[in-house]
Amino acid sequence: MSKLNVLYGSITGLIAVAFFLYTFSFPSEQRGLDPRLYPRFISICFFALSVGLIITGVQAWRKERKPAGEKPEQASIGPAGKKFFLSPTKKRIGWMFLVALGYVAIIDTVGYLVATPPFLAGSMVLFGEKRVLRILLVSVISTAILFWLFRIIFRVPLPVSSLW
Amino acid sequence: MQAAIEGVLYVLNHFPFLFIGVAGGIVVGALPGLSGSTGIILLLPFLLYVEPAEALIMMSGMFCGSMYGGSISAILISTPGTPSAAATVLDGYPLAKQGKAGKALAVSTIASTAGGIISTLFLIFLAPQLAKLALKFGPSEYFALMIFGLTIMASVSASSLVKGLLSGFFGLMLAMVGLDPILGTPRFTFGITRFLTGFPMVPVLIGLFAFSEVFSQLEVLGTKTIPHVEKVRSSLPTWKELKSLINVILGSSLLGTIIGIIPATGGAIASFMAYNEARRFSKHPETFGTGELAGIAAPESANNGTTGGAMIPMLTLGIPGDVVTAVMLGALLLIGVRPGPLLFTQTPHIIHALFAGFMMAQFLILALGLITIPLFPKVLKVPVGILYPIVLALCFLGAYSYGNSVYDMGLAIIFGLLGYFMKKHGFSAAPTILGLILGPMAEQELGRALIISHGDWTVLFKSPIALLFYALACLSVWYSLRGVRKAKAKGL
Repeated sequence: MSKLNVLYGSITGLIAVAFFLYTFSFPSEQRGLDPRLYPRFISICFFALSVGLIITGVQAWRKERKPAGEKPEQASIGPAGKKFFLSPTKKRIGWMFLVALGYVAIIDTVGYLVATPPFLAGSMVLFGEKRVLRILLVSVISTAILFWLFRIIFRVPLPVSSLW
Repeated sequence: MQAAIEGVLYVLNHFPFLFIGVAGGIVVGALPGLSGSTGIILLLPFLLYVEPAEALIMMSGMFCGSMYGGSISAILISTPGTPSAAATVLDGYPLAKQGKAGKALAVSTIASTAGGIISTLFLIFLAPQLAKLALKFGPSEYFALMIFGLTIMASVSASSLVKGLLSGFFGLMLAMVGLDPILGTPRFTFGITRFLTGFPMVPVLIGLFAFSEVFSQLEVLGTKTIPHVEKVRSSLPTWKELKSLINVILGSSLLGTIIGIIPATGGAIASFMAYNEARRFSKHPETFGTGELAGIAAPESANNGTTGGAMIPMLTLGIPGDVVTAVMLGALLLIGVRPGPLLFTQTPHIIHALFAGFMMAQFLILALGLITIPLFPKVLKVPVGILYPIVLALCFLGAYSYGNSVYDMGLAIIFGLLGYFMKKHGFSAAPTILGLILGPMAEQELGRALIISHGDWTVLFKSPIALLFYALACLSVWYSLRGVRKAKAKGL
């Protein structure tokens, strides 16, 4: 975790610097609150906290290294990163993210009624549901109920297909 | 009196909203992994299409119901449905193992109702007085109040103070994207037109709280083995048992209410404090942890006591008392209700309906809790393979229906992944939401104060009320730092 803290601190620090530099493009205003002042203050605080996170990360890393002869905890970015992407549970999260992104990508084209059942079915499979009939029934019936509730009752203009 | 009757009549006329809130809250609270904040997020798509008073009733029902619902899984499967029910496990589960789950659930229901009623009475009598005081606030007082509110970020941080503050300031940075609230200057848009309106609250809330939870559940899928839930029969405590619990319930309810009023505390702290106090004052402290009824009554009356208490600063000052009220505050802003003293003077009917709804929610919890005890094991058996995909579909609908835009659905997923990573690496999402809600308000009030004073910064420190809030802010930071030092000393 200590090395990861250094990494996160560096990323947030860079974001703070980018935000601070962006404020130079804002116009100056003498009356009331200068539009640059508040964003600069927040950016500086964010940067200071990022430095704080880096320092605590380095301190913790040094502590981890102190016991002579002992190997440091395997929390380095390399192996931890590899472990993250190879573990089956993390793969499931990755797949879920992709399924959700795919749903968002196609919903405007194929419409809510067509896009939702496959999305629900995919999510059910990722959540460990194996019974095909249950997957089919739940995905179709829930889509129908949600469509009825939102489109008919609440009159939410759900996405309709642009293909037909 | 007439206002109270009107409030009660309003709630009776709109009873389905209260029922959906309370019943939904009990289910959401009972299911481990879902909490009151997730419940309110799931309500968002509906809230956008109902009257503000109806929305408030539904959210209040969800808040109270979920607080109570957490005890069901705590008693039946030794897994608190919400963090506030963690103390209930200590004596609730041993009772369930002794075959007295029905009695444990009945005591939890009665104690929760009592705690809720006492805190609602405080809400009804204290909130209008505080609102009257808040009417005297000007921009400099409000700015000081927002600063106090923002220091809560430190208290709601999970494990690390630095990470909690970073999360909070991340929320403040996100809130700066879009147009400047005073002059309308575009900020941090990076040339993207969509960013001109800033990050809409609904997708961010849905992403950080609901989607991230779904991702977390995917991670633990199959690793948790939930013990077999046996059938539960209704069994009310005897009059003698109830009489022995009265002092514990009253004391814990008061303690919970007071803790609830203090921003950034919440049900978890209240329930553990009440449990400890009940054990300290008990004639048989050694029986705690083995299935003592007072060990259920104390935490349950305390955590439900926090509900009304937490609503007081949220409604009167716009400062959320805990994570659920922070989400509720966000939801209220979305439906055009800005909490604060003006809410009490300009739309008193909403407040009266809320007070009546809050009180009636407690009786509904009592009725639903006692009647449906045998059904609780079935609620806990809902397959995750069905539950979470439907939660996801509802979240997507919530994100979409806010602005009828697929862009918001995409934002919700991105913030969901971000929230998941934040949670996984010790960054809490609650401070981010606080920063996102309170940041623009603080900036706006600061701008107003400086415009009125013609740029004189000393105006911020002239009012005694403002100075009081700065002192409270310092106290809040000191309290957080003390907590960090204590945790370090314990080697946590």
